[in-house]
Amino acid sequence: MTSGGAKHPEFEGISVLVVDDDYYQATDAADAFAKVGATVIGPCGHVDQALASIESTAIDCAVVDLNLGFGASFDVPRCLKNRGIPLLIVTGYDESMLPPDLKGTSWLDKPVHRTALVRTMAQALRDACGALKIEHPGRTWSADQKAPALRLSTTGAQWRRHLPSGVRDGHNDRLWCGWISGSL
Amino acid sequence: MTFRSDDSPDERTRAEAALRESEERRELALEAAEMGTWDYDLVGNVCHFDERARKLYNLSSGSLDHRPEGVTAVVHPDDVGPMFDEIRKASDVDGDGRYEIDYRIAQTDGSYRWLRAWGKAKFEGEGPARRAVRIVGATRDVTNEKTARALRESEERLRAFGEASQDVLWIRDAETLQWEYLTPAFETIYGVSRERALAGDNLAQWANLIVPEDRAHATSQIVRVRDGERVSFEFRIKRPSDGEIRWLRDTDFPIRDPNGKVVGIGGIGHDITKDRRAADRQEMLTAELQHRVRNILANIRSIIGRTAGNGAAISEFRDHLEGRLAALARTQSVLTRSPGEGVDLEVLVREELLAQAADEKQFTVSDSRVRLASKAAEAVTLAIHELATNAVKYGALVQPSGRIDIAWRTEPRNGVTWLVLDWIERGVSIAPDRASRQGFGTELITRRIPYELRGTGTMDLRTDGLHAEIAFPVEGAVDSLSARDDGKART
Repeated sequence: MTSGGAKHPEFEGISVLVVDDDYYQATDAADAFAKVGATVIGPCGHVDQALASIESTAIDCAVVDLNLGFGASFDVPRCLKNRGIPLLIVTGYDESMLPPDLKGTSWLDKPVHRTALVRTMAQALRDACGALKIEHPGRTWSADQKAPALRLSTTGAQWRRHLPSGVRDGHNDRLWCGWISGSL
Repeated sequence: MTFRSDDSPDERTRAEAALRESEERRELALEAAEMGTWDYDLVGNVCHFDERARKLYNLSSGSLDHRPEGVTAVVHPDDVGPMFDEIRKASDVDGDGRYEIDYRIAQTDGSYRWLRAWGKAKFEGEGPARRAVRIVGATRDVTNEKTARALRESEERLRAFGEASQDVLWIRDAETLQWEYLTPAFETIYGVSRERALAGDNLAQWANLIVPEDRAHATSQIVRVRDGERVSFEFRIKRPSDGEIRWLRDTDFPIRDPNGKVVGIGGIGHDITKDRRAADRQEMLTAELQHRVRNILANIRSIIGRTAGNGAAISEFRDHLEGRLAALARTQSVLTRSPGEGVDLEVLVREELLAQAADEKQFTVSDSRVRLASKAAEAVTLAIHELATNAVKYGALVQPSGRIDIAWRTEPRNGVTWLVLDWIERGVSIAPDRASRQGFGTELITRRIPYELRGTGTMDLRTDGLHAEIAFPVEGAVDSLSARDDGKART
């Protein structure tokens, strides 16, 4: 349990949703993220709990198992993807199992080491930030990959701190939310 | 008709006129029937043919009389024998003298045409001297009737195959792309009657039965066949009768006229739903197996970490780890023994206790029949294993006065049926340091069970022994069919 000690400053203040139906694996993952300074949401062992957490909590990224007790299910990864929340799939299934709309999602095979877990999640976060390009009539703004990790959230509130003032004007939180996920 | 020399010239003229008229009539009738006549002189062994007969038999028109060898030269080798048999039969003095035969006659271009000849033998003499002297008859070309019949027979045979086939056989017109032929298997596979399928623009109607995702591809294949290609493709249909999705493999080919122009599209539609389902199931099983193997490895990794976590000596670590892996292995073997049927709770509990070499006089087990689904079985097996290990080390099974009652019942909680399992130890004197132990088993029962099975788990160390309770909703965890609500424990 000493391997999770590597410093990952990008997880400071970042909330990580952990979804796995296996108690040991779920708590191991939660422990790994807590150790690097992330706020752990969950862990959730059931689809409905995970969906409720996504709905009610500001989540920056998520690590998700595909089998939550009743065969492979893609409800949780789809929900996260639709909201533009970076996610990492950790599962015993083969990657070929992924449906076309989820192809390209970050992926780790079980059993997974906590160091690999944290490192891959951090990379997925950086990739999501780098890929982010926000367009607005009159100006274009891209996230700098070297910038501190963008705060991704379902409310959009945390995004706004990182947006230039001209972009923010005239939009309420709700509009931001739909608009941001649409441009991801 | 004979002429007598003493007939008057008038009578003779009249008779000659009547004869001419009669011959003319016969000639016209034979011409209309396209029949040639012949007269086979059996005594002189020579055959006389009229003009039309010579044409039919493809004989030189120079000579009117032909030796039989000349005739046999134009008859198809296989038909020569039957022809002579028929001649013998007609010449038989005891027979009716009738001659009738179909045979093939060689044409100048090397092909054969079918002729049918009818004749009648003429006999002379009486008694033993009676014999056939000639056979007179007519012949007609029956090639067209023969081929038409052969065609009809072959068509009927093919139709019978089509009607009996479990595959849909069909033919579309290359121009209109409409069905001209469709076999009854269509009704079985597509769930639409042939009458309805053939009504209106039946290409569009067929396309409408195909699921939208596969429609454009399937119709484009028909166009490729019209352009001369052979194709084989798979597509899904949705049966209007019951909404069922079925998989079909169509093998379609162009039908050409003698000039090579595509005039029709032939197709064979084979229902591959079963094959597809079997392949899907195979794929699913492989994926689940892979998932299970990797998950077990991940589980073992977690169990190792947790077993080592309490800083115990290596020998103790090894004992604990071996025990836990053995319990995990027992669950796996029971689960794979009857996949999908779950695990009998009583068997599971007894096996764990016997694995700890527990004395049967020291425990009782409920005999209420409950089957656990794989996920619940795994967690409960490990829980019982931990409880039994603890009992052997510190509790009821190591002290002579100790007893364990393991009982379960199902009961409604908030409208859902729960399974409640109690592990009650009695007659145990508790060591002073035991209460502080927060080990693997405690975490398993008080945390893992609530997390994975959405239930509750308590460990209560009472003055005369441990009382553990595991409870969880049975939906998905117990096979509802076999879970009985009697809850009677054998005590």
